[in-house]
Amino acid sequence: MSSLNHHYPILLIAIPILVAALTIMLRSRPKLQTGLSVLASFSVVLISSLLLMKVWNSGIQVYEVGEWGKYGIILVADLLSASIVVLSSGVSFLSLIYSLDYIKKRSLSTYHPLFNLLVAGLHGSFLTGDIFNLFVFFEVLLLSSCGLVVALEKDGITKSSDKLEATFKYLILNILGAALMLIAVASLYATTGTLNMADISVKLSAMQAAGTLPWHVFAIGLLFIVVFGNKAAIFPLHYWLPDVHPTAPSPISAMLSGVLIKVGVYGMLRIFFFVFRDVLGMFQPIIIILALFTIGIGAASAVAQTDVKRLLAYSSVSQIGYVFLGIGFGSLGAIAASLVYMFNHAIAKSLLFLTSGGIIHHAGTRDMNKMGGMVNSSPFMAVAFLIGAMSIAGLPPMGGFISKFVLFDAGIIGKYYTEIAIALLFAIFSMFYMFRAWLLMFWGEKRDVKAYGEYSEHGSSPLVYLPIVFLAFMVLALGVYSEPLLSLAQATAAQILDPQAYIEAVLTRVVR
Amino acid sequence: MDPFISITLAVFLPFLLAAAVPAVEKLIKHKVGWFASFVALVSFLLVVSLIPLVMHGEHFQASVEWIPSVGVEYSIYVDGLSILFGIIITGIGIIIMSYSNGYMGHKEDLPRYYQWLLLFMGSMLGMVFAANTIMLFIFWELTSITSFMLIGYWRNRPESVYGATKSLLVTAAGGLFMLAGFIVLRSITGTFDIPTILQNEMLIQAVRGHELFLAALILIFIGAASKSAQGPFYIWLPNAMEAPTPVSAFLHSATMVKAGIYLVARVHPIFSGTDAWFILISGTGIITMLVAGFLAFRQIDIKALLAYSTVSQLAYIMTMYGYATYQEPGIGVAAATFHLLNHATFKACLFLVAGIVAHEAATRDITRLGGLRHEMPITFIIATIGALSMAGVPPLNGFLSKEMFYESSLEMGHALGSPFTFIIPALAVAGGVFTFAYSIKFIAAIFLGKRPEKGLPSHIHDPSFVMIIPAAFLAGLIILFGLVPSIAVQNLVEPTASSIMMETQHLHVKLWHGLTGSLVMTLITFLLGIAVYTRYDSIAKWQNSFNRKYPFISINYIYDGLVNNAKDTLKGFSSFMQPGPVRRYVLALLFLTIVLFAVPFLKLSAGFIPTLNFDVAPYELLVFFFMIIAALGAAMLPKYLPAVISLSALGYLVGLLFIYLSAPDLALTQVLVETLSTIIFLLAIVRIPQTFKERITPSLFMRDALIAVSVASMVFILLINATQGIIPPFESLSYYFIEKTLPLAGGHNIVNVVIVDFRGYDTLGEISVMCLAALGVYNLIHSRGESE
Repeated sequence: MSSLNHHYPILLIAIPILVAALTIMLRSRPKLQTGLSVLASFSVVLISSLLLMKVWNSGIQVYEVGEWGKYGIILVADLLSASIVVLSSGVSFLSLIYSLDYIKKRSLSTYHPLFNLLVAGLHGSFLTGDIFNLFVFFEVLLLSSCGLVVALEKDGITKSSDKLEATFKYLILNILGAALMLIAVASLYATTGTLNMADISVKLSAMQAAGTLPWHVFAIGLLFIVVFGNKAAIFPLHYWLPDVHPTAPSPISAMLSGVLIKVGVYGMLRIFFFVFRDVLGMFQPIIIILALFTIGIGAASAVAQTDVKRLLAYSSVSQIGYVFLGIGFGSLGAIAASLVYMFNHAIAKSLLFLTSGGIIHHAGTRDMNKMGGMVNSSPFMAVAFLIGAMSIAGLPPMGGFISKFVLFDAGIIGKYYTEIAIALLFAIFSMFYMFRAWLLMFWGEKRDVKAYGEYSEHGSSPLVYLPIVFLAFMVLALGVYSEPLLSLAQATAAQILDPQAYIEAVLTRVVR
Repeated sequence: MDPFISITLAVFLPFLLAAAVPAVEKLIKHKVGWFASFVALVSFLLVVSLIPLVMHGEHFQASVEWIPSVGVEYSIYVDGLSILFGIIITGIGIIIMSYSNGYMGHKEDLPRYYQWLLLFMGSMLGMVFAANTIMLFIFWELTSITSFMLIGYWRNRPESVYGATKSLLVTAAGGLFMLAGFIVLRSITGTFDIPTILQNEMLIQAVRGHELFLAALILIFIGAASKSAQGPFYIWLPNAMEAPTPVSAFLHSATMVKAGIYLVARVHPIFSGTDAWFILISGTGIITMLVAGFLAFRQIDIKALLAYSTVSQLAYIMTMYGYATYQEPGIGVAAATFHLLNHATFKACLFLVAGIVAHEAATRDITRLGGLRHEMPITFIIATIGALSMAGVPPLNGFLSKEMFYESSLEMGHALGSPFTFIIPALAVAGGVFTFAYSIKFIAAIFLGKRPEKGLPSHIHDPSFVMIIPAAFLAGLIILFGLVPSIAVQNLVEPTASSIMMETQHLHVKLWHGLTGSLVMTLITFLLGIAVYTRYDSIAKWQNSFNRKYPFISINYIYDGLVNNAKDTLKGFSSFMQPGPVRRYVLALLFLTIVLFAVPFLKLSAGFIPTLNFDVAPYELLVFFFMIIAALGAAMLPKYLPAVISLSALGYLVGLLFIYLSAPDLALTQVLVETLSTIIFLLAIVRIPQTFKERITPSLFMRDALIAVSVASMVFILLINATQGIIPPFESLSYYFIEKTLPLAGGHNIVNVVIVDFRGYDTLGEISVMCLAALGVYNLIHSRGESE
């Protein structure tokens, strides 16, 4: 067994890729395909948890693909990677279960391979220690998510022409981002002669110390803000998100808002606090300013929405701004707060998107102005949505409260008074738009003539409500007892700010 | 029992048993309300059992670890103040839940009603016994949410939804400010634990001397004011009257609205005695007291009248807690505490009366009520006791605390010196005059005068004992506390005042204490009150016409403007931000890139272009020339087909370049990829119109060209700099590849070995990307066929 647990990092990527290939071949055997996909997803959840435990107990895990050391590609699982992988595999598993009932049977045959490749892309991005490999997995992510956005739901409330239009925007903007990333990676390689992140980091630090750091390294760093900002959808790179997240099938919206945009956050932490750590000071004010704009514009736009999923999408923009704010503050407490924020947002937003899927199938529309009074016809969705809404609004006893609390705490300790004041103001906005949405949908009287329940083919399916119940429970649990998450986040933040262990684990290996 | 366990039980039993309510309802049907009263009784007894513990100003604290990472414990603190609140919460709780058995019809959603009531009670208890600010905040927001749910109990009514939303927005948002205040306080003192600060004179001095003193005070006070409906935040309370009347009596007069008062009393030792404290707390209090008391006149709904009265009465208490000078930091503390208790009794009593009247007469409109004294004699007597107590008439408890209010006003005025010696008592009397007038109006409008001819049910009578006894009990307390004040004063007020002042306090409250200044003020109040009462209707009429003429002089007007128009206003903003065409978004992305690039470029670049070595062969130049032509063609040709061909020409030219750079295998790959993508492109565009739809105006063209050229130059500058070679002493990894390719990987072609071995994992990823593209196209075709 000792040899198997050494392979955890690669298994998290290999299993989904392998299953993706198998599910393509099993297109005509839907039951087998589904079974295989679910089994793989579940085993990935288990392996990722084991990996996190291993990293927690015995430190950073390094896996050499092909045993070429820093000359080849290295996978690295530190606390940051391992914990995000647990989050992503968990949300993926729940979304997959939900999809089994939600996605149209005909779409499912290609849905499974795409979904598995999305998971592979996520885990590949989180675990890689090589910057070009990160680029490759970003491509995997981009294309697999495009394919999933256009998958069809059972009811067809969202027209496929809308989906195509949104996908087009998504593709164009992200390909541009990818091109910039390629330029940045190539320039970095040309400057340092290596693609291994630890190696680059060490070399840039040495140049900084020797005074030979060329100015264009700063330009490269700023390009990375655009690259990861684009993935995370911060202002003014967020434009694709409010089109893509609402039109995607709800389980995919949950994946996109819950996990995929966090790739950008992960990238920021990795590149700026590790690769560019000695010149970080220059980037922080820029990140803070962009974060504040993101918070404000996302929240203000969310208030204006009548489409429930579009509202949730703008809310994601605003919430990711809070995560970036913590990154911009850059202290140990602030980074821990960002991580906590990211986790809580991922869980709450996945919950909300999955619930919104049930709601729009129940109501037959995404327009909240046509809903109303649903608390009587769908009390389950009312409670689930309320739990998520309270978390986003930052109200106790939900997880979202803890995230706002620790973020404000870190900000005030760091004397970022103005920034916290702005963040606080827009926290009231988020309370307003979340509760307005909840009230429009669940209280009052129904405003449209059509009766509810016409579409309600999901209400009773455990495939739909079990993931929702689990996520709702997690939101509540992380609010009531947040200590495990907080101590994990603090340990992670400490590791991010002191990357010596990472560097040693990667660079002191004997190479053939 | 250990106090820690008692309090924990008192707080969490309501939470746990709230979950059991639906099951109990299945068993005993509509009698489930008695179960809830029983739960309240248990909590009440648990709290009462701790009175001896704090009788003489002692306190008790115990905690267990909860969130050590941020220094937050589950920690309870028992002192006079928390016991006083605990008794009010559970005591009124018993009364309200018993009364509800008569008030709530059997067809109502009783489990939900009692569940939220119990959850509210638990949250409220948790709040007053919390020893640290974060725990206090958590329970504080829980009371906001339970209040939201109870105000919106009739959740299909638009007014309920409006009232519930308003209360949540104001109180929960205010809570966020309070949280910020607590965090600021922590950044000064290093702890969230309130007793730690209270018991450490050095910490208190540190807070007072800190630059963030005012910020902490204001932030915390915003929380308190929003919860206790003070200052501009009062607006939510009148709309909260959409709740069932027992809820209004419980949450919105006796308990939840006093949470802000509790907070002010709790942090009193930290902040009081400073100018800022007096100006902020008493200033807000006095203004609120006068404005709300005055505005009560035009209310025609008896619950609305009581709501404005509540705002005004809470402002009395707030004002008294604000009365503090550096020498005497607690001028109004005892008076405030006593009035707080008395207000809970008489206001809850009046709300119960309002509920009885609405229940029996089917209206709460004072213009349609009147002359009910014959039909409801018992209710009439109870209402009179409650209202006279509120008006400050002896020998009721309201008289005693009103006297103390006047006394402390005199003292505060005296302490501040001229001209406040006169102003503060005068303002206090003015507040008392308004209270007197609307208290009399409450009795007169419902019970006195003539019964209206129409509009009322023909048979109106006193309600069942279930509803009358709770109200009568409160009326009894009003008289008892008035005649024998020592019961309340010794057991509750003195311990509370002692715990706020941090030293033992002794009070002498008597009905008759000679012809003092405060008694004179009371007499003036009565005289002026009667005078104002005779003009009551004309004042109300004037207020109405003023409101019609200047509707915008109102905080509600601002609130409605902000909240109702928020969506439409921001709709414009949102569509301005998100116009739709992807061209704009690309522009934003590129623009940000340029701006960001400009930062280091302008700031750091000294000789940004290194010495260039243009050693380019003429045939290479030719290739470059064609590449430029092809790129321009791809960007500018008006039809799809030529543009695509132009683009692929560019790709082939890149392949040609690879051959010149002696990388034939790369060139081959490039040619293959280019061919494939051109074929796919051509297949895809066969079925769509051949020209671009968008019309490009010259100015648009210029803008895009400018951006494009900027980005291109940026990339050019970056790459020219980056390709100046690896910064010494570092070198490329290629020596390793050259050395190891053959012996370790068994290949001759380094590029091939890098692709399939050294970096074979990347290649796997790229293969996945290709596979994904294929799947994506497959899906696209699939979904096309579906929709058509």
